[in-house]
Amino acid sequence: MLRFKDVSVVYEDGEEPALDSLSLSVEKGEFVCVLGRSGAGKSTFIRTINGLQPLTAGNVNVLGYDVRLLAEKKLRALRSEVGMIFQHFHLIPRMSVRQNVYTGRFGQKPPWKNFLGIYTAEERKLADYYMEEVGLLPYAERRVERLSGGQKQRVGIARAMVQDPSILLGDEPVASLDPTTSDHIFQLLRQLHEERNLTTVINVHDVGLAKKYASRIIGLKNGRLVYDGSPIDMSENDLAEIYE
Amino acid sequence: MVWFRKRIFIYAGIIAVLLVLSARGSEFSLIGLFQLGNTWEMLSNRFWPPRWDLVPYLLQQSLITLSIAFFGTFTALLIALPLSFMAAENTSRSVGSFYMVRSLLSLFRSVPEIVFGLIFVVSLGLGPFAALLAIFLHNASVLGKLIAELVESSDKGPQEAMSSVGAGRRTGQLFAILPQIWPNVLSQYFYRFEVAIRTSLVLGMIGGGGLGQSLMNYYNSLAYESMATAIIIIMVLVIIVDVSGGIVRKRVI
Repeated sequence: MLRFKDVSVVYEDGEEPALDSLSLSVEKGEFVCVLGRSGAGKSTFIRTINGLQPLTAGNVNVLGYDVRLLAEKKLRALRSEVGMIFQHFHLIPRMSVRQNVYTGRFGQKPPWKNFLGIYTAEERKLADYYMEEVGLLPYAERRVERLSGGQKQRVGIARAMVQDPSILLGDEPVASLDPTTSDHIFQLLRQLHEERNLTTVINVHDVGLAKKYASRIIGLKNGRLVYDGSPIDMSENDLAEIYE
Repeated sequence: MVWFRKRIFIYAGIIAVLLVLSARGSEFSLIGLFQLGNTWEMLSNRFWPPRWDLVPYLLQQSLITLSIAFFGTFTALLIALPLSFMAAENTSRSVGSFYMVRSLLSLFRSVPEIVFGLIFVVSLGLGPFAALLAIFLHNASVLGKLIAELVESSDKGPQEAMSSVGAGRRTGQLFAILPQIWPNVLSQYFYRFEVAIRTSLVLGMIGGGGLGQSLMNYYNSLAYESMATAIIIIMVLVIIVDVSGGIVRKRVI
């Protein structure tokens, strides 16, 4: 499903590579949590999957496509199959929950239909379904600025899910939330992961959450893979290796 | 003196020299200030009482002034919105188009409305249309520049989210940026509309019609009481636009 081969990313202003010759695979149905210190390359890793971050070397193969070789139109088509949620939610301000969720369909419709807000009955049903799933259907017409942090992240999740993706990415989705809300969000992500048979890759700082919900943990340090295994097998030494 | 660095005194010195030079250039005189009392005397003797019988006619003229200002600035806004996305560094398609649109906006912005008005009055003839075009051209370029700056300072997060769902470039930019900057766009628009009302008065004085033209006619025929009525109507008009702009801004924000 996801193949990384000798992937390196060096930022223009960076001396050290953000990712350094990273090679790994993620199979369909895995729930992967990526651990690492700030600056370890976790966000860069996630962003290379949907092409938001260009590569310096190597290649990333997603759903059979080499992301690096895709032209703009095909890259957009690929992105529409990969849902993504963000630490700061990145919702569109001044728009309602429903309108924000509908934007998740933007990659699958011609621009004029997006512009005029024309959605099929099936799409509307899908949006309602996911708003219900994340517990926000009663707030569908509320502007997103009026929601709490946890509710905003739920909108982000509904927006990603309404894409009907086969891969779900999370770039520190609970870093701005309190521990209880973080746990609820992870429960929800795990539940959606099971229901939709997704492949999920999420960056997280909280080792407890990763151990509780992930089927596999990847540890990054200075852009290199330092741990790759199951949460059960993860020892204190492994954690020390990632975070020291 | 911990708050003041040496260079602040140098800047203060430069500003003081510039102030003295400007005062000389503008023939500023303190004695002249004491003669302001004469102005008040002139106003109370010649401008009072206003000619209230002219109010219906001047209201008609103010509708022309309002039409010039509204049509000119609103169509300018419609043109400025797409132009601003082309003139913003983060949304323009290429460096070439960015510099081209920015330069065009700067070029048109550098020409005051009165100059455009003088040109159009000669080429198109007297009347509101010349004033309308002058206001449209200047405001399209001013709003284009101001909105481009808002586009550049918008939060990149929603744009990234739109890219991640696979939205097209323009769709993503439109939906991610416009809702963010909309209150400020409206704010800028109402300010420009207010300015345009005052400008259309000036343009009226050179033959652009409306209240400005009536004001100039009264001035030329020394009909100061009539002028007073026109000035009162202008003041009321500007206050109404300012207040209604504030109400709309409040509702939108």
